[in-house]
Amino acid sequence: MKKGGLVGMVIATPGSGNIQPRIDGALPVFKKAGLDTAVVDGGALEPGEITAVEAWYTGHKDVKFLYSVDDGDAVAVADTIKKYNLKGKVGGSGWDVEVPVLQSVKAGQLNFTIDQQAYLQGFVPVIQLFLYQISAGLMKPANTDTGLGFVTSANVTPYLAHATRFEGSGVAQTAYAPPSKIAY
Amino acid sequence: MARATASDNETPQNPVPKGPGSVAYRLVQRAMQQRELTVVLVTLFVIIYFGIANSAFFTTANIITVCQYLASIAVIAFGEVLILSLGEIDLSAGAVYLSSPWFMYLFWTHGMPIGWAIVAAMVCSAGVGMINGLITVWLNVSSLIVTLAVNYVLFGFVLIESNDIQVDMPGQTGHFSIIFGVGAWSTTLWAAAMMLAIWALLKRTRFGLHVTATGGNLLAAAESGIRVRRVKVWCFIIISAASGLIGILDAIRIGSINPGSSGLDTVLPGIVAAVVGGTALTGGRGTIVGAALGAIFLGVLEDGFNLIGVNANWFYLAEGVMILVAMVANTQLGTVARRFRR
Repeated sequence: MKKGGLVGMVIATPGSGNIQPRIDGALPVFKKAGLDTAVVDGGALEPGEITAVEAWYTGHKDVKFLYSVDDGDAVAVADTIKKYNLKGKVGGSGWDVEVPVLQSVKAGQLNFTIDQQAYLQGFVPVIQLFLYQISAGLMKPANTDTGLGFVTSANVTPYLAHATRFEGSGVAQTAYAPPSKIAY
Repeated sequence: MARATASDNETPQNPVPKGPGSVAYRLVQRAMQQRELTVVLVTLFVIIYFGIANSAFFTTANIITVCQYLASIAVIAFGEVLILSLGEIDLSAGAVYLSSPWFMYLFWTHGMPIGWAIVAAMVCSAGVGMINGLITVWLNVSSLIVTLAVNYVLFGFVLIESNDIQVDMPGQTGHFSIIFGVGAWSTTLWAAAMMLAIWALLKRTRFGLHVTATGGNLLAAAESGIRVRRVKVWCFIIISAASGLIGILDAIRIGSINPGSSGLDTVLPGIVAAVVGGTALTGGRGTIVGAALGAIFLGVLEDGFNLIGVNANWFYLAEGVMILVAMVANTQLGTVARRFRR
């Protein structure tokens, strides 16, 4: 993106502790890159999110990228890009790996979505606390980076091929075969 | 002090054409007698404002966006007009709107053809309304509490049944999808059809007369032989069935359903639309046309603020102020209008 390009940053619930930091973190990076930014209120309901993003796009057709920070808005961004045939003209990104979001990545409406490894975010701390408890406090919880995965068209296929509770796409306790190589 | 206030009120503050016999006076008098006048004026004001602020406002694409946004608000508002007219309230309509696509999805995943899945989901939605109505009238529980509780029950049901997983909505292809949500004007036309149906029900049928009578004076209506409890239950069924249908249409339009949405975020704009449009929260007075105008007002606000690029943090402040202005204008103009009705 060239300097001065407009980025629409779409958020469902401004101010909420789990998603507002995603805007706050990206904003200075975009600004430092010389990009123009606008924070768009999507609203908490998916039907409203779609019309909000469409309305905002209608008034800002010079936008270069739609950056959404939750899965509902990711669907809204993808739908807008699809509806107005903006693929290749306006970039889009999502958050989380719900199936409709992944399908939009696969279809090329979203350039990427973020896999924040939410299962690990819950699982690892509990395991660490458990080990802390049973080791008389000798096994101390350590800061753990659960990873930040960018899911793009290049690596989205395995996500769609494996419904798994670890990524929120299934409920069955299915054990899949390990990958042929470890990749991030 | 009280006499001074009454005297002030009786003195016209706004210049109006002189002479009760003049044509201009009669036109103004007739306009002032319309309960929907205020919402017409404030809606026109915001439409003109956003039209001037951004030329894209009057494009076809944006008008479709506005209409798609306001369709669900309008349908819930129409139902709330019936319920509010009775002196009751339904806080579960938003949850019904959000849960009906899940009902449909469940029936569909269990092998039911999509058309029948829609019918079955609507029956479930109507059933929710019946439960609301029966608990309210037979067990004498406040409808506010009953429907708030049912709102939570439905939210919980969706979370449990969906396993918190967002899914794709069936019915995305062919003529079926065009009619049932995907078509650009589909949800708007369905909302318009429901408006006409509920308006006709309220204005042109004996049932509508019973609704007005029950809301106006419950005891007198019951004394005159109207089965007031049955009237109330049917109104709860109507709002739930209508909310369920528009929920399914919206879900098909979007293509996916998200279990994490709150019904209260949906129902409150519907109630606001009904009240801004001229329906009394205390019962006895309701206007379907006013509710439609109220929904247009809210839809235009939501769309317009996004169109002109109001920052997300300022969005709710601006929207809240505008709703407040509309309601204050409504009550103040209502005071003036009462003088013309005398």
